Amino acid sequence: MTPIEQLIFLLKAVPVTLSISLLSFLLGLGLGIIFSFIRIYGTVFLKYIADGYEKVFRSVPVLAVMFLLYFGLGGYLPIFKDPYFTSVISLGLVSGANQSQIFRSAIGSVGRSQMLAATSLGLTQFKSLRYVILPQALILAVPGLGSEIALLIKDSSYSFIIGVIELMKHTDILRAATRSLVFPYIASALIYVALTFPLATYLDKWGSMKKRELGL
Amino acid sequence: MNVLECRDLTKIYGKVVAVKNVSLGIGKGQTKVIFGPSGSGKSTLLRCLGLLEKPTSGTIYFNGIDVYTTKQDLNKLRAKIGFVFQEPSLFRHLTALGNVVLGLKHVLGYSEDEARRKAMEALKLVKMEDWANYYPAQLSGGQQQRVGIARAIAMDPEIILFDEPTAALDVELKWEVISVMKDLADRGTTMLVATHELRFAKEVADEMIFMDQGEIIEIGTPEQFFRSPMTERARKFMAKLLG
Amino acid sequence: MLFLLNYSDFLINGFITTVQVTLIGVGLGMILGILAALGDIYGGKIIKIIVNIYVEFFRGSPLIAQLFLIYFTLPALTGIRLDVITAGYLTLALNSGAYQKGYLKGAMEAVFKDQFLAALSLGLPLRKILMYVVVPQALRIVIPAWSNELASMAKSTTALIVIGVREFLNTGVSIVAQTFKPLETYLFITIVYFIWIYSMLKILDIVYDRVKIPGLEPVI
Repeated sequence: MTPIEQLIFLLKAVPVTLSISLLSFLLGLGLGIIFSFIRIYGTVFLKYIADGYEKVFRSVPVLAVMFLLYFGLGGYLPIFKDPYFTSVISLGLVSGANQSQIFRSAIGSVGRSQMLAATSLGLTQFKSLRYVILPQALILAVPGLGSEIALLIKDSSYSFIIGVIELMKHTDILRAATRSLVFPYIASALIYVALTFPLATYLDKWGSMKKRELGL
Repeated sequence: MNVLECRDLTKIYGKVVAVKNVSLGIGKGQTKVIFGPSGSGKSTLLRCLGLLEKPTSGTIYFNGIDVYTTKQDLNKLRAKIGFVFQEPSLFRHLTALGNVVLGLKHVLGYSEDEARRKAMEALKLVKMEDWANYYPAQLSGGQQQRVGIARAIAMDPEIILFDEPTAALDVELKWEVISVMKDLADRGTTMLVATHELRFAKEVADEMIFMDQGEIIEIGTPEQFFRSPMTERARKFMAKLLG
Repeated sequence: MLFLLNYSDFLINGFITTVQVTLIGVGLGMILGILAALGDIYGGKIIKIIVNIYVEFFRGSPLIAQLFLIYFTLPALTGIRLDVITAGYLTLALNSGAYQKGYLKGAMEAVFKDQFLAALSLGLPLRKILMYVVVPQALRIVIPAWSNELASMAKSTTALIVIGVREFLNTGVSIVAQTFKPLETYLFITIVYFIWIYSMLKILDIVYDRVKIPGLEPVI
């Protein structure tokens, strides 16, 4: 295999790595928004649950969660026998806890007065959240979410351990096929850098620009 | 003999000449005011005189002794030259009292009790004794600057340099800092003050020094400057300041 | 879960290894982070570029890829062969140093900016400025970032499985291979991770609360 062919072989796995990252990000986004709202505006009981969820999933390794779901629950619930599905769920659950915290601090920066102003217009609490708080919080959260996606792209490499055929797995296959310990590892590490670096940097810049623009 | 003096002081950063051939001296008990547009080199000059930056060329004399060629212990001299900064420069992990105590204890070697007593006296002079146990972040800008002044005077310096101490403050906070500085001048403290507060200069300055683009353009009494400055540049700048 | 008692020595050893690599990784990483931060603040152009390449590479690639590079690629290129645990320490330190450089730089700049000159003007010698002005503030500013780093490093150590380090999760793999009880084993292991990491975060929270000072906000 020429280096170009090897590179192409590695790049063929990028869509899988990105799709795991993106799907788990979206799952985490949904969980993050819901749980952050619950933690700020919810009833005592719901707050308790949201708080527990955040604490647990911020304090456990994602690989341990994958093992627990894939090897542990997989025996009882066949759906977890699918490594791709299990990876997305595990990464998403952990990311949800991270994103909940990102949104909580973003909502905190939007400020109480906005909520008061919205309710004074006669908007219901749900509508105030949906049309006033959330749009602002999303913008404030962008830099944090950018690093979260970057984190997920890197952490998606854990899914190779439970057998997902993504970039790290292709690297391993290439190593075995070419019997080289140099090119496959360096090339794949650089591909990851190329995927994460622009994302985190660009979103960070965009976030601060937008923030200034809106005076948030 | 002047307490602090510089001759032909020049400071160059890279290619920028910040201060160019400046000579001036401050005698015991004198108050001198430096003024001039921002970027005129006032700050750099003061930092050089405060021995916080080394001039590119020229000599600095403290009580007649050439500081750099005779290789003096700079820290000992710095302790004798008080400095009040433009930006609030209080140590943020220490209370107002702690800020004043630090130098007394760790530079002058006072015991904890002595240092605290002396620090309280200094805080009283700037009317901040009631705020002794507050942290910088809990104080207004003007209060922080007064603590900064207390920190400097507690060391019993032979001269105090002020680098636009009111420039970063709101109008209503300026007066409290200025009145403290006036008190000090009235008590015979030797001071070199960079400021644009012309009323302060008029009331207490023995001499005013106008700087522009790193050079001294004109030196004179407040009366001269207020009546008719000799140079066109000083006249224009005075007119701008007086609105 | 009682069958796990039969493996208690095994589990304890694995857990100790995990704690060890976490602490040493973060500790060595802090030294690297300080050097990188100093290089980025005071270094010349070339040093700055090197620091930034180092940081972006180790922040931008997965820990697993870095472990492979240090354990497989480095010996292949240089002939220096590292045992798994040394390779693990080295990789974690390099990884952590890249993350820690960011907040350490922030902390240093925050303290050095205006207060260094003020301390100098009082006549304090450099040693005392560091001791009484810079370090007490930098430590306070850094604690929250530090606790984040410890927690994330603790979670990351599971990646060491790919080069065969016998850390805590890996002991689980061996136990499952013998007992065929993955659910109980991994549940237990996950719970232990949670208790350990959560209490570490809590303790540092309490420490920070004790020493925190109004206006001295952390930089993360």
